Amino acid sequence: MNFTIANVSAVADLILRGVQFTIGSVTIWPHPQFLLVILGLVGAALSMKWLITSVEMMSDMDDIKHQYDQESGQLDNGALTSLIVGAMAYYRDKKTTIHRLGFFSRAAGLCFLVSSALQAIRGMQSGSEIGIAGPILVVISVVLSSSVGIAGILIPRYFFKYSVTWEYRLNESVKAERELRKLMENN
Amino acid sequence: MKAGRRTKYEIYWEVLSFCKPGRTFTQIVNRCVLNSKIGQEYVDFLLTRGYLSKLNSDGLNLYRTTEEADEYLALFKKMYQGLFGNSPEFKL
Repeated sequence: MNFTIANVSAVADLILRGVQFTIGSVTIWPHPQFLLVILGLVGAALSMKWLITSVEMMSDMDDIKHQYDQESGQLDNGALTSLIVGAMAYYRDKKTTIHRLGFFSRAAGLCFLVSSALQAIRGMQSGSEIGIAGPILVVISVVLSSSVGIAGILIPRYFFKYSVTWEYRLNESVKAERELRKLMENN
Repeated sequence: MKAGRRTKYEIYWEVLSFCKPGRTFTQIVNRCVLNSKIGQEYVDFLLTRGYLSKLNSDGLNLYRTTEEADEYLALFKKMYQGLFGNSPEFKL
């Protein structure tokens, strides 16, 4: 859940920056920076896709948890196995997307860290020109960007550790299927 | 929740578990999230294996899980519950 929340917040920021860049640059057509406008639009579109995917996954995870909460008081073997099958099927289906989200989360985290570094440099260069409140705002901005950047890089790392457990389960389920196939063939 | 990517053995298990009291084809495809064509293939396969039997009740065609499927269901349950019981621990 933390992984998808980090993704959603990173995506929201990227969309805003993409839109901001596009709107800010649209008046300079047909300069070469028009390519950057296109890049901004593409970035915004990809970020929107990323956001939708993250929200869908959050919704699906909520469904699994809700199903477990509903049945946990009276979990018989059938209901438990049903939940296991559902969770396995879900991970099998979303495995590639999850790894892709992890990659983009790290990329976004890196961008946030670069952004915070640039903000810090610009803040130091501006010096006294930005008044008294300016340095405080710069510090807040740098801290926020750095925090999101660090979270974007670290959270996938912990998630990938967790996915080792799921990969083990998927591999073992392949062995289980061999046994089931043998049983069916013998019968 | 969407059905996700299930293997055919997982789908067999879902159909067989669901059909214990006797179910219509429509109930099976709705519950197991299958389209009619794929659902019919699975049901036909389980009928040929003897895991499902077809009966008529009050004018309805019902499919019921047979005793021959018990071994399959028990093995599936044992193996899949074992996946969660024996898997490596997640540690930070």
